[in-house]
Amino acid sequence: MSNEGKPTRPQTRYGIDLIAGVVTLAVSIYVMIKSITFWKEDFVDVFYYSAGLMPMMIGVCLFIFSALYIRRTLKEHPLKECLLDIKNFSIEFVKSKNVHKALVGLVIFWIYIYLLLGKIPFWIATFVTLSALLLFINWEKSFKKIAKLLLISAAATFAIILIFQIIFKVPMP
Amino acid sequence: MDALRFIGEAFAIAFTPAGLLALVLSVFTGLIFGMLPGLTSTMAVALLTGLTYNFSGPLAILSLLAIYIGAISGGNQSAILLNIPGTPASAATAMEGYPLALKGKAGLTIFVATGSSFFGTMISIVCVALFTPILTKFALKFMSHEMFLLALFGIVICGNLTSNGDPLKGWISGFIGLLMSQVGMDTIYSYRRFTYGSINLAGGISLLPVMIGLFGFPEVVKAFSGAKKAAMQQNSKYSIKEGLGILRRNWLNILRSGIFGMLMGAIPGVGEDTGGWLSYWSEKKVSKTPELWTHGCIDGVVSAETGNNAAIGGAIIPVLSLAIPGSTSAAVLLAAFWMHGYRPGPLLMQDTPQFLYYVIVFMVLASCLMWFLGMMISKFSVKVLSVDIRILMPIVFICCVIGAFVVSNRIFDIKLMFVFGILGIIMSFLKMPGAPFLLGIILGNMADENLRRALLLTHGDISIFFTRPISIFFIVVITYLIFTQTPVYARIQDKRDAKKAAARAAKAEAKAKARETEKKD
Repeated sequence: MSNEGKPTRPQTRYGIDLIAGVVTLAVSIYVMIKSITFWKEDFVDVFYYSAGLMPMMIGVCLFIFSALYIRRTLKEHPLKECLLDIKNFSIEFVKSKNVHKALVGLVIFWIYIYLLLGKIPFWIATFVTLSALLLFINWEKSFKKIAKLLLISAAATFAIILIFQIIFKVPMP
Repeated sequence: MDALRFIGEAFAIAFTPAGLLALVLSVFTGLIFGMLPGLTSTMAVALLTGLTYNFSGPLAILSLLAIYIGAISGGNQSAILLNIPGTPASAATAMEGYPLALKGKAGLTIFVATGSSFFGTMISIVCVALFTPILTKFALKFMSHEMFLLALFGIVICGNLTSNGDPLKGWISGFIGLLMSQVGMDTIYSYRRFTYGSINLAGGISLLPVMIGLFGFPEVVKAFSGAKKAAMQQNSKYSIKEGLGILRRNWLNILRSGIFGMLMGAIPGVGEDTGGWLSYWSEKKVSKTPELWTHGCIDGVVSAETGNNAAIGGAIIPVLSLAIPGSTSAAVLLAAFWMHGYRPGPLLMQDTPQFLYYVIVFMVLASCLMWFLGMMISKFSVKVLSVDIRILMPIVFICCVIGAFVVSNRIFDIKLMFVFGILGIIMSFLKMPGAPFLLGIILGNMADENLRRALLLTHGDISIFFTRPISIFFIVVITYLIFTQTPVYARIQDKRDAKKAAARAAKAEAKAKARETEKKD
């Protein structure tokens, strides 16, 4: 009865909420310690004018919010339940096919950004990555489909170069 | 008489073949820039400044204002169709626009959003013409500590609005954004904070990689699962009559949001993003159906789009009268004015009195054309979306990479986008909104600089925060909003609810008794 009219929160994994709360709490403590270091190092006598003031305020606020977050999570779900949820989530995470797909996609992004860009010409890197991504997401063992996806990659690469580099004169990585 | 002559001159410039071509191309390019994630209004104005270097002064001003208006408005299309705000100013639009697109109302929503942008710009133009001196005086009344409180207020409100009923997560997101804004050299002593010896981090974290990472990346990665396939392709047709009806029904909303957005734009450093958010928030507060908001409420789209476009005029007011930009885009615009030989500031009306009238006329023409072209482009962009999202998203990813790179030409920014993209995915999983994070990064340095300046002026005396009505207003609202999430408030609320329930039960009992006695009688 008392909850009538109150907005309901979106449902999330409470085990993960607990981890997020603890991580935020740890970050807030680190930020508070760091802000003292900034004050000591920036040669300003008073704290209110030092480079550490704002980080300290942010750290304190984050500490309060994360403490409230953890408290709320634990109040609604005891620690045992949270730990069990974390365990279940880990199993689901490892087994999920969607997660596998997303991870492979992220690996392709990583290779493009960290290994290809700036090392080989932009258009080659882009064509290779686009082809890899399109083939991976839309994989079908058909020559026609593969040829179509490769053509899309080539056309998209050409269009990107034309619009950005040639028309808008935007420098490419 | 001079005013009429200047207005006539401005129309004559705009209706030359070169003027018309510049107007159409600039609005069109602006819309495309605003639409594509990662290409912002700031970038559009900056790029065009170089391209218009050889143009005559008025023609260049026409192009720059047209691209600025187009870009701010164009951001709504990707916000509605892809849930990726093309510009930070459209983040509030995505809140309502995307759910509406999922319901198959993408076309209608874009029509209403573009119409609202038009009306927002028109309201702000009227304000530029009529109220420039008054509003400039008001904006100048904000002291340093109030600017700090305004930034804090923006983040707290944004956290409240975007969290879908869980403000705590919104605030955590906002304060982590604030923390990110502290990376790099501080604005007063150039002391390096959280840089860990990296030269790239010394310049701070650029806004664009964060924006693209937070809003673009999760959407791209989601495409791998194929779960969202065809979600937005249904029934994008709309009736213009229905769209105009919605706009007519929302006339008060448009007026309120327009004035709100314009006021926010006029405050230096606040800009279109806060204009859009605060208009959205104020309208949600007065809405008769607040429960519909964040689930696809067209009124929200109207307020957000009116607010962010009205901020354009607002941002131009201090540029023209004081040479102080109201937003990042306005700062670039100010630089462009200087480049083309105009000197905005207190002496503007004395040195180049025609300039203000040129600006007004060019803005009116650009916003009219923006609505027309915006709707034409929307047909094309909806078609783009009808392409399989699993083919579109890898291409969007490449656009994101270019967008992250283009501002500073650093591969480091692309890497940064990747890192924030991962963070965006985690936040999306935790149902933690990205918008307060972004706003935290935008407002962080302003908050830091103003707080420290205020405390330096008062030698650390914080009583200044309680001496003026503006700051007291901000303090009360911020404290109340945070207090509502504490266990103490929950207990008070529970007690109040219990009392109400008891009173209701007692009333019901009394009524039942009265009925019984009536029956007995």
